[in-house]
Amino acid sequence: MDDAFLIRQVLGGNRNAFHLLVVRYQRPIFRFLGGMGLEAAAVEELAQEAFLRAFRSLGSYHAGKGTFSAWLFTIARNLALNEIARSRRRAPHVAWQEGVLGGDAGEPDPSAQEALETAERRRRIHRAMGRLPELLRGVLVLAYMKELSIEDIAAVERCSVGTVKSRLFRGKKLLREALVQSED
Amino acid sequence: MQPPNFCNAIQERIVAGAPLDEASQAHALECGSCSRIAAEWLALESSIADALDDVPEVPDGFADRVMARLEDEACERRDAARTSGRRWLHIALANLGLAIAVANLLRFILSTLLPTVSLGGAP
Repeated sequence: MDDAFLIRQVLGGNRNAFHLLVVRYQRPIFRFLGGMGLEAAAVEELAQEAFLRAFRSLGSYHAGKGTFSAWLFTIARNLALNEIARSRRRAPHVAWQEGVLGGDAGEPDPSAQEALETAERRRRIHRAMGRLPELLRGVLVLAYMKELSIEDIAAVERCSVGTVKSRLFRGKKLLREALVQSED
Repeated sequence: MQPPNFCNAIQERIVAGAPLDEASQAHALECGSCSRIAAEWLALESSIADALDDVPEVPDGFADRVMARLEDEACERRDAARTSGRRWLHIALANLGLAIAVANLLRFILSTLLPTVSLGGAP
């Protein structure tokens, strides 16, 4: 069942079809929102809100203007940017959500050591991504999730394909610089 | 030995994530400087992908909760429509009652001033 068929069904009043769309896109939307650095509770809340908004305005979606996934990610992206701006106003120095990472190292056996190193590597990446400007971060997350084509990412970001490529390049460059700095 | 410009061009393509042709890939493998850049960027890319896997999992029953919220919203809309319909009925009945009262008052006043207007009255 493709998206177009399910959307027609939803517009015709079949709610079960929307359930299938939620099941299909819940994981990518969670990955995107998590990748934007939001806390687990905020991720779930915003993911729910993204799907509710998509349902409410599904009638305004036109397949000719882009894919359903790009349209859905646009809703999620706008919600994420609003939430980031809101949390920054609440706590200007709020730290980037660093994911679920190991606490007590326990006995220094090789597998624990490896897990610690992996956790530390991820923590550094998350921290470095948290320092990127939102526009670069958004493009980077969308590109590395590999859910959307570069044209779809351009549609989500409302910019040209060339701008997406340039943001991707700048984002990776800044990320690398931040990682090199954190190693020093 | 390739000129430095050749290395620069390849390294720029590696950093930009642009595809390399066969000859450039072969060079990037052999050249120490280009292979170091390629290794650094490949490591960065795999780290980003790895970090994106370290995000919150979709909780059990998430889709069901979304559907439940949709159902709640639909119920609220139905209730609101019903309440709004009942309110219009109340307003219409009140207006009708007021109109009847005004008509009766006018009839009473006219019957007092002009006895012929009163029903069944003799001049």
